[in-house]
Amino acid sequence: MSDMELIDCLSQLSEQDALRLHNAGVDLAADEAYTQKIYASVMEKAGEKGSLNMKKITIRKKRLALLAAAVLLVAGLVTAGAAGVLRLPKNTDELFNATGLKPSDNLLQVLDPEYVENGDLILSGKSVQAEGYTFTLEGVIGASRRRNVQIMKEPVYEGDVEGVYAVITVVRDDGGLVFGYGDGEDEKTIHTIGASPLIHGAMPNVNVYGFMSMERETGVPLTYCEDNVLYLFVDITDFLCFADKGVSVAVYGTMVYSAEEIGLYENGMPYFTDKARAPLAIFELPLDKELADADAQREMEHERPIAYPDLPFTFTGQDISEFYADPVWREQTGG
Amino acid sequence: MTQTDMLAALREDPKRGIALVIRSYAALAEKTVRSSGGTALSKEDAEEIVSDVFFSIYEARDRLDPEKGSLASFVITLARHKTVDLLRKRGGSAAELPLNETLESGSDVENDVLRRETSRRLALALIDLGEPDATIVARRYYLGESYASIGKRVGLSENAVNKRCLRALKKLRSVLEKGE
Repeated sequence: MSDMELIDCLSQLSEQDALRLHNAGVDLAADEAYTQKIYASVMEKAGEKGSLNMKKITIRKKRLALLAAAVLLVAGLVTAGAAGVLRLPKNTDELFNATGLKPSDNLLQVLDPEYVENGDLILSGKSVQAEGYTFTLEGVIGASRRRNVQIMKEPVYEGDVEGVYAVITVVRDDGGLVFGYGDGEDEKTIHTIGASPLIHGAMPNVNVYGFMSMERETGVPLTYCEDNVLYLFVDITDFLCFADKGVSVAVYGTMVYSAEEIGLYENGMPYFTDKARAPLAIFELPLDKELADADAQREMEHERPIAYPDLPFTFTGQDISEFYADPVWREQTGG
Repeated sequence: MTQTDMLAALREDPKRGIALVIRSYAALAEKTVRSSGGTALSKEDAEEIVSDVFFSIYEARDRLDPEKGSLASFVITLARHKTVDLLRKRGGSAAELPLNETLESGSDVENDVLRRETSRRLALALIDLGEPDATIVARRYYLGESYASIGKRVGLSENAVNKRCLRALKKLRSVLEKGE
């Protein structure tokens, strides 16, 4: 079968199979512009003014995922006997069942020993103020998430996905609600705070893969807003093996990551360059270096095209020509 | 956002509810309209039908019963029926009806079974790609979305989306060929 034949088949999937994809969690949602257009038309037919407050909708939509994450995290902490150490949302039982999140049975101890007191996980407590907001790295916790991919009546995958999450809180200095960064059209209408892990020393354009770890199944960060405090749960599970190199979490206010927005100091620490559109904060995670795993690093470097400035493409296993075709890479390297 | 949440929102705050439903299903509805209507429909026609679909749901919001089927199925069924209705109103001749409808009624059973089986296997293989590749491929080749737009949605560069599409096609072809 040629590519064209395959693409033809994909374009003609049956309605039943489109529903399969939808039910399995494949994102087939409409984009915002189309949603707005259809909404306005429907409201016109209904004789009502078609003004759509997308901010409100986005926030409400995210509350489900966020609450679920919060539930899991609160429970995880209680399991570890560290409740009260980490600032987390209040009880979120209501959405616990709806989202499939649950406390981790095995809360991983991943922090550097100097951050751990009396055997409990302790918060980092580092705060950064920017753009009228205060960002705080609260700490790192373990959590698990029920994954149940259902196709029609037959479950094709069931199981718990264990994870480790960095928790960052965002508070507006004037006490208001937290959303709406940036000047872009999307940023005006959509809650756009993002947070992504970055491996120290990795090329910025390949560190973009960190952005896929925000939430491993959807690529969307788990967030929850309660009492005007926004909680970001950044999935760092896949990055623990790089503890010896160092891992940071960048917090930003744009929808799309651009490699030129992140630079690297000589020691590999990432920083926001002057081209960053909405830089907010970068926190170095206090990970225990004992977590470093060279085999896991190689495996991840093989799966994802991670490369280092002094060791380009050594482990990637990918076609190098693809990287040279990347305009960002070409701009950064002069060729 | 689950179907239950959307139905609850439709009842409690209809404007917000219908916005959620539109966001979740408008792309599927539009695809259904385009598939059912083919070249007989303009872009404006398709948008009008999609708008009609969601207006019908908005009007029927208090009567929607989740026990009788999923909201997604309802949207797709409405989209197909409204498309065929429009085409029939415009002329009514079989020649103007979409090709897939005439083929189905032409009972080429063997081809139809084969087409459905290929579609099913392809959908399952696509799901097996995992995320974000499943979403990238579905949006690119099923919905016909641009690389740039997909990249914005999944947080990848246009170039990276292109590469992932090419790799995914390779995987899908391999899966399909193994099963033959």
